[in-house]
Amino acid sequence: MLAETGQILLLISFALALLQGGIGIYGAHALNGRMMAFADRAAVAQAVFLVSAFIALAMLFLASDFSVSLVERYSHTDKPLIYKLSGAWGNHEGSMLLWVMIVAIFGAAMALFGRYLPSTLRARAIGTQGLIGAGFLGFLIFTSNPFWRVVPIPENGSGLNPLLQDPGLAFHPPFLYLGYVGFSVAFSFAIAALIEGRVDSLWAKFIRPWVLAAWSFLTIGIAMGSLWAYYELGWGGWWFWDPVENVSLMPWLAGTALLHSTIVVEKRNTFMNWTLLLAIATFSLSLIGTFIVRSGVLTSVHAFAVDPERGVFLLGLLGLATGGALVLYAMRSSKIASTTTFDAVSREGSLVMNNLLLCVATATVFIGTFYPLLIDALSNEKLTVGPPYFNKTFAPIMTALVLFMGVGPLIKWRLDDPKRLVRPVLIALGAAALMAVLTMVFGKSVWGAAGLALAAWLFATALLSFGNKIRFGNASLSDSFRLMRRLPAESFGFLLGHLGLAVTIVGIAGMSVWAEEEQSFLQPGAEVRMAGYDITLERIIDAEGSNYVGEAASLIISKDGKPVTRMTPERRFYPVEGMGTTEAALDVGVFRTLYAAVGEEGNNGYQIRFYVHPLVSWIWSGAIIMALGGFLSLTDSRFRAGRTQSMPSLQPSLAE
Amino acid sequence: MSMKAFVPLAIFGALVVMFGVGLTLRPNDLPSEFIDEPVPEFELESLFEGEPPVTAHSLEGQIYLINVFGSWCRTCIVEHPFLMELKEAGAIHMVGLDWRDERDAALRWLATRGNPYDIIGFDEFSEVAIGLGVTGAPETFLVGPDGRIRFKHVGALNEHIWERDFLPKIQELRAGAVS
Repeated sequence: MLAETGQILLLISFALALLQGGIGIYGAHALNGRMMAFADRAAVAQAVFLVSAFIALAMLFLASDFSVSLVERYSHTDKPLIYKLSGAWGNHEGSMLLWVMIVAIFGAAMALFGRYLPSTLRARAIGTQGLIGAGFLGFLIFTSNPFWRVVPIPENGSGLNPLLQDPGLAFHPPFLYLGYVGFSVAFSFAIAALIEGRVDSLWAKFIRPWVLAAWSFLTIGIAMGSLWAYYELGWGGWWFWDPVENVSLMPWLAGTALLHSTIVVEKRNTFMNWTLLLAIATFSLSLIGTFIVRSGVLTSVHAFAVDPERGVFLLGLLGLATGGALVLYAMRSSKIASTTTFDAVSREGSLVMNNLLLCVATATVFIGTFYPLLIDALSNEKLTVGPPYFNKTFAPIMTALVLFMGVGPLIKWRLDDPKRLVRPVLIALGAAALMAVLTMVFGKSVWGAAGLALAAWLFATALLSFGNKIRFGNASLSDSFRLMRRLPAESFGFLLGHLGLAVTIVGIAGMSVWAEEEQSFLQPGAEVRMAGYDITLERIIDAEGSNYVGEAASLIISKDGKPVTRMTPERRFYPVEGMGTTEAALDVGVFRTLYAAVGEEGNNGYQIRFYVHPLVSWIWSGAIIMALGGFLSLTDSRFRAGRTQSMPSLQPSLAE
Repeated sequence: MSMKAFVPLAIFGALVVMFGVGLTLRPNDLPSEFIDEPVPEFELESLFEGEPPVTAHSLEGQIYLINVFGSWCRTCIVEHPFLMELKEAGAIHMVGLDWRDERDAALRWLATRGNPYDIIGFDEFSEVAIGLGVTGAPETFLVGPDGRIRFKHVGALNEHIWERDFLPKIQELRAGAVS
């Protein structure tokens, strides 16, 4: 019955989403208060129904109900509980249900948190959100239904790809989708603003927290995917420039640009059309990401099934959403005029630079990802672009971005005197130079020195800008402290966001320059020296889980005669899926992470691979710090200020 | 309304056309011009230093696979255990094409996971991959005893695909070779 209930819940939600779209948008046009209120309620009800449907699917997986085709294909009675649960979204159909559920939850949140907004703007945005939901619900129900039954009922399921049976990956899609879908709110509000023909600081103030939340979730999602690749794929790479990774990076880059351009709209009432376009582009890139992963247009490499029919449906949705939005933009954007102009040496000028560089970076990734497809479409010739392309193009652009990122926050709004910047820039350059010299002396690497100097530059400038805000050095310490306590949460978010990137850069530089790796064959009891550590293979132990068999190598690691740690890497075989995996052992540290993996038994013993990865944990720590900065900014009281303030000029004029 | 406002729409329209064409291309299909054509001439360094170079004629006279892989490729890790099974069963000869890779990384990759290939060409700069129309890794070509390409599969090989697509063609080729 649960599957049928789920089915019915999907159909009701589909109807509700269509009504939410139609009645909400028409109601705003007709200035009908009851219709607009209906859209609010439909949004909340749709979220409740879809959460229930998702719970129903999760329960089917937990109960191992193999009469449901999806459960049969992706689960098995022997699977650990957590992976039975994550099986609910570790496949195409389930992940699309997760997707529409998150669209609906954001729609409901817009209704609940947007009460102080002009009612027509809110109804139009919620209506647009309903239409997005309806499109994807249609896709789910008609091409990817998770609740189909199978006859006859199989005795057991066929399991889940063991590479995906991992805590990191179990929670990777939900975070990624919270990010992707979170940008739908900005998109819906951009559409609403285009219909209304106005963008103002209240609009920017309202979409900013949604962009921040989506951006933070996406940051975590991308970091989790990269972390998973690092420890599960077994040789210590952490980013592969795989199309599936690239399509998650593009909305992140565009979203970062959007995050910054909304500040300009809010503070200076300019940059409006550009921000609208960015909001449309960011969500469109999220849609393209979904389209690519789900349709198999790019020959990528994912465990998810590829089906051209789904591809056509998704391309249609993309065409409707983005195409519709851009038609609207072409017709209406001239109505939205910026009220102020700005000077080059000003905060807004530096944010133009930020946006420009982020867009170039996005375009670089886009071209690298889609160039092969373009060539194929034009000339039927097959080409590929590999990691070397990205290393040569993306890295210099990001370096330029980080250099500007340092100066930007030091500059004042409106117009600034370049002379005022000399002192802080010199201090930061000094810090960078010091770091470069130290790195050359101790690390003996030019690239390493350049990378760490860049991180030091960013670190120093972020602290200096923060210091400016609290008049550090110009006022007494107690005054500075008092000022700091009065700073809005967003200022701390800025600090964490920028420092987090500096931390990530340190990790990337460390990994690219100083990673060491060695391998040897060891008999149990034997000892060998690898990468400066003494490694003893104590013994081989049988390792067994509910759904795999395997063996583990018990290693004792010591350095200069002092014991450091014990590590037990494993090799596993999953009989249901017929696949083997390597489970590396990690000893995570602040300055170095030890990474050990066990290979096959050869004539000379067991193959042990041992890696010393300096600073690698900084890569993901930095991402977590950035995301925390984003979440911290959400607590900013200014985002709630609009609720108590009345804004008479923004009320819809009934005479229209 | 200015023309400038239509620029984003025009760009997006071009993208949609590209995606639409992309959908019809069905990357899993071998472009017809490759079917039954001889393997393009090539000579590549062996991945293992000191071994003779790998050419289009290295395994001539036998039925064999050309498997494109790389240590950077995620799906290759998924595919690899099946290739090892094929090797252990003595099912078929295999030429590995190590594509856009670093030699050390590839050697480590093989040392840890096992080497299913008879010989491996080191195609660092896509010299051969472009000639074969490789779009991504892994990709597998089936070559007949006459040195002509008979089938191509894009993506990871597994038992299902092997039995459905490869075995019938191999049996056909074997029968042809006997008669």
